[in-house]
Amino acid sequence: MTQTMTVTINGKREMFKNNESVLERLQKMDMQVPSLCYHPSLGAIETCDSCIVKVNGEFVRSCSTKIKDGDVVDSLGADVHEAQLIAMDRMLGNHELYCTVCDYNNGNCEIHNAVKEMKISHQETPHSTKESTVNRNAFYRYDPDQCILCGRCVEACQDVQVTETLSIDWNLKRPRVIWDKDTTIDDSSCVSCGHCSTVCPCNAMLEVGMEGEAGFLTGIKEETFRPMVNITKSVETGYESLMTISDVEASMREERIKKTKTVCTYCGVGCAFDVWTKDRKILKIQPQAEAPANGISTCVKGKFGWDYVNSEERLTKPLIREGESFREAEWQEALDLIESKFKKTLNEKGSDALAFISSSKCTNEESYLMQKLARGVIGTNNIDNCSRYCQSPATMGLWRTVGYGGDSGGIEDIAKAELIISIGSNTVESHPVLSTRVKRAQKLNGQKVIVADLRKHDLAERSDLFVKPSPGSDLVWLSAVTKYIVDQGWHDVAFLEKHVSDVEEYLSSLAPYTLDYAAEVTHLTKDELITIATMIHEAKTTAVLWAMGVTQHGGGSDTSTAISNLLLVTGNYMKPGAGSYPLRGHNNVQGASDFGSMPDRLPGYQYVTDDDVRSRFEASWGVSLSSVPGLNNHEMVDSIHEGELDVLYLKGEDMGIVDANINYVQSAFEKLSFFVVQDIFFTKTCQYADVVLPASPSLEKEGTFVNTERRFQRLYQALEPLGDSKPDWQIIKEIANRMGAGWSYSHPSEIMAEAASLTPLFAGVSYDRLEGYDSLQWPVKEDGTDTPLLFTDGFALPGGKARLWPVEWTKPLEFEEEYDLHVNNGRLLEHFHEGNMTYQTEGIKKKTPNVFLEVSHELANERELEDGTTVRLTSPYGSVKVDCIVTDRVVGKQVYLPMNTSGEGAINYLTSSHSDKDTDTPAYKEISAKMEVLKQKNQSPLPKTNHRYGNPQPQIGVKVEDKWARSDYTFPGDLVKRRRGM
Amino acid sequence: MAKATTIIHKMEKDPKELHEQQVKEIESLLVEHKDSIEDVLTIIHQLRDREVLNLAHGALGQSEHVVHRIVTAMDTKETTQSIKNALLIFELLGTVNMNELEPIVLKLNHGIKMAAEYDHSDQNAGTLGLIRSLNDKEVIEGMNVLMKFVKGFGVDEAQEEKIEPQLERFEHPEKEMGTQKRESTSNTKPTRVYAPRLFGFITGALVLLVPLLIKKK
Repeated sequence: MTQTMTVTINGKREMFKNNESVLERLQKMDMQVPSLCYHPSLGAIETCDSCIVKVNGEFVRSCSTKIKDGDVVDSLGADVHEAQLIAMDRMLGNHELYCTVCDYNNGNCEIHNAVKEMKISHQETPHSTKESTVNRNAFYRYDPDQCILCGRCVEACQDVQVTETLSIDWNLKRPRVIWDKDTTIDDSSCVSCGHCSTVCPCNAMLEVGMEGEAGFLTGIKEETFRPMVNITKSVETGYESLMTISDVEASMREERIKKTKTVCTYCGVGCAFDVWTKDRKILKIQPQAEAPANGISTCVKGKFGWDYVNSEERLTKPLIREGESFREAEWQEALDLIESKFKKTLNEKGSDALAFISSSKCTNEESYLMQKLARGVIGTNNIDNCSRYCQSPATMGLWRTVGYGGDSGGIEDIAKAELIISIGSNTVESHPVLSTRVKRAQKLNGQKVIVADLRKHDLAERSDLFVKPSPGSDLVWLSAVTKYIVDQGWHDVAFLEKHVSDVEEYLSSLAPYTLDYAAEVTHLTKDELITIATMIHEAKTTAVLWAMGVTQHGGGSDTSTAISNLLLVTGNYMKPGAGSYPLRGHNNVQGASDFGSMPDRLPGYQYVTDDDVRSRFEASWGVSLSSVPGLNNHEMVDSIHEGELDVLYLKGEDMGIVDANINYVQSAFEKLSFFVVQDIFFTKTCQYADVVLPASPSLEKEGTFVNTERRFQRLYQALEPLGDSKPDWQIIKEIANRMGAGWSYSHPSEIMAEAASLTPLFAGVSYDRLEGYDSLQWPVKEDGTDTPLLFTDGFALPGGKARLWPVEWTKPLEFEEEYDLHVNNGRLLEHFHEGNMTYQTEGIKKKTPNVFLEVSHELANERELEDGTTVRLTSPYGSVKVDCIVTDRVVGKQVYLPMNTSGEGAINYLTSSHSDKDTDTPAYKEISAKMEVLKQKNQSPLPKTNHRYGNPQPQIGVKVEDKWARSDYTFPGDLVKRRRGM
Repeated sequence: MAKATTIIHKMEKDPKELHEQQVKEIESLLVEHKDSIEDVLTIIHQLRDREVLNLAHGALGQSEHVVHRIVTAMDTKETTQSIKNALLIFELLGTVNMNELEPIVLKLNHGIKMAAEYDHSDQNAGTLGLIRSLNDKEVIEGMNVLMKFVKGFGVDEAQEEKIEPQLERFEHPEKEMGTQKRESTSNTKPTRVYAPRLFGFITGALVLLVPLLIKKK
């Protein structure tokens, strides 16, 4: 609504246009109205009544009352104040004010602040217990006796995170928050995402890391705590003095609790939040509403998975191999050795005998320096990063069709889309926070969701249409749906004419993709195909999300291309809420490539073969650069086996376990004449190294990441590097300088300034423009203008036109008949990859201690499998040993093996070297294996406390109507009217 | 051929070398903060002389027991009442206007002095003498001052009271009703608001009755 409204607020006439609530307007006018259940990221919950005002003479909750033209608002009258005090008093009956000895007394307790602002001195309703015990797990705890029943946690769980575990049982004599059907946290469906503790206005829902740590007096024992609180209550002469003392104590805490903004490293969503540290202890993660990608949201890893930073297993000194063992060494010695070996190889075999692998977990600046070291110092283009293992095919598909290899819009656009199609993406587990936006939009806003996947994961279960194409057949159904749309005349002719080239050629290439052919190949029914086409046709905006289920195939790039083709044909580009979203897996998989860790492209995807580009870099770096594209990861391994590549410097990548066909990769490592590995842990890959260098994780350094939305975000240093470990950029600089580079960077901002000056794609990026929670989405012009919606005027291809690109289906690998099981694989919510970081968090380890194999009920019946049965899976390339879980998430002869182990259950013992024909991305998803039962009965690998055994209780919000219907509830406004005879 | 290995030999730092390095670090710290350290040492010396260090040592060593013991000892009605009274007296002092109080205190002192000098065997002082004294300028002035005091005594100050803590109210919920007025700006009329006025009225009446009582005799 843009109509101008005239409203009288506290006797003063105001004019404005926004369609907002009374509370929002009053807050904008700096008028203090208490609002304990209201949270800007959650909206009106209406449980606390403390925001009561009078509108046109009637008492209303200002949080849920929209302002209308001509309204007369009174927020200051004595009767309004009285109603607010009644509401506050009810809250205080539920919450004991022992602020000074409360771990939540950090200046942000909203009850404390409301009591102070309203100058409440005493309460009428005495605090009393709800007679229920504290509910806790390893990550957070709920104290019912401190809970004011505002319902924020429930709202966040039900409608933001949409795990649907929490509710308030309004039927209890003393209502309180319950998990599932009133069970313990551990026995519930809770995924420990931490939303509840993040939004709680007080200490009812508190992170366990804060307990006894945050305050100066909060570490006291329970038997002393209670008498201390009693004394305080007995001697207090009004809350003013209590507030003063606790405010003083809260101020003192500021001196020793450090709050540092950082960016999560567990996936490509790019969640930003404050980390609270006391010395090296991590007290909690505090998301901020202003965080551009995640707002108040986190997943269990981002919220609670940081113990690895202080793990005793961290590498703290360089290691040097001596025969069959390593010994700790000083930096000087390690760098001496690296220098001599690098120089020797350079002299004897030339620069292309060395290769470099960047990390998608490290910063942009580190990716930039690594490729600069390779190109500008050593003289080779043998530089790559691990996007080669995941999203290079998606990037290829987009380069072909629209020119930029990035998401078309932001996460907001995903939430806005009328229709979401998720293909080969277990986004609820792989990009948990992003998936919450889809779940919420579907639950509350009528967004439609189609899921195409082998496995009935969470989003599939929630979807409006779930189809299970046969493995590796996505290109066929996508093309058939596109053809059907064109045949029906549903394609966007105007869009194609104006913005797309090669249309006719492409449309004629669709001829073979008839519904009959697609049904035969994909095993989808014709009805399903038509339904998909119809849903796309009926939706004004469609966004397609895809991930490894698409890309990790022999035809991964072509299938990605087919997705983009479908979107172009239906005009689903160049508008909010539409487009292509290849969901990036690692925190900086986008940035690692953006900053040039690729064998054929310099930063900003500028070709090494382009003379103009090269000469610009040469002028800046003062060197001459090779114009010959280098080797990618996959080719490096082959090259080692062939005796061409002698030296490898790899950082932040456990290639020895995450690459496909690891027996082949590991045997390559054994053949290297010199191998430098830089990591924070002694990984499987480190075992093959000659020198291991101890690096510092994200909390111990500064830098920037680019998330899946092409968004640059800064991370700040929260902790000093542990032991003798160092930030990667410093290590690379030292090695480069040993090789005569003469680099003088003293801060990552200088590296960014140099990269931006050479790269039109992000020319305007600077640390100043990324202060705090500020962010920029590339392309970024020199003046700092960024591009939230990627394509607005046209496409990044010649003539500004997108290009339809005909593709043909590549049949997946075929196996001998004995390999009768299809082995699907991927991530788990609670572990990051092989788990060398997440297993360091005891709470995660306790709930998910092992890898497991999901088998279907049908297969279980056929092979007499049950939970805990130990089996061996054998493919032509190797075998794994793993315990089974019987579940309906998989069907028939499809099994699912998550990647959360580097032990004998590691998936890549089964995978082959077969790869995407266009990018060499391993075809991890094309594996078949045979099964052998090793032990019929065993303990289940998945404890019953795992959230997968929970029993969610979906509902919309907190069901405040049930509270209002209680016989002991009276609306404070009505009470005031009665008292005053109104 | 580098075979995979997980064997890592930790660097054994020569303890002697480590010790020397740490001594050097401390030495440079001492030099850097020489003046402050001298001051601190003086204070420590004085604390030791006065047994404060030994006391602190014992208290810190047994801190959990000590705190628990103190806290449980304090958690009694008498102790908390004492602390509460102390806090209230402190707050009350802040409400006293010393400029206004001074002449009254002087008058009080004078009254006390005269009372002390009063001779009980003085036969001149009888009922008539008292009535006569009603004509005395000083007695009239004293009565006027007392009357003002009585009037002030009758004003309702319930809003300003701060002496009913949360626990007390919890233990005596019936008193909660009486505190409603204190917290809201409601125009409702709880009964208790009349109590102080009534008390003031009775006291004032009694003061006025004094001469009449004397007259009856």
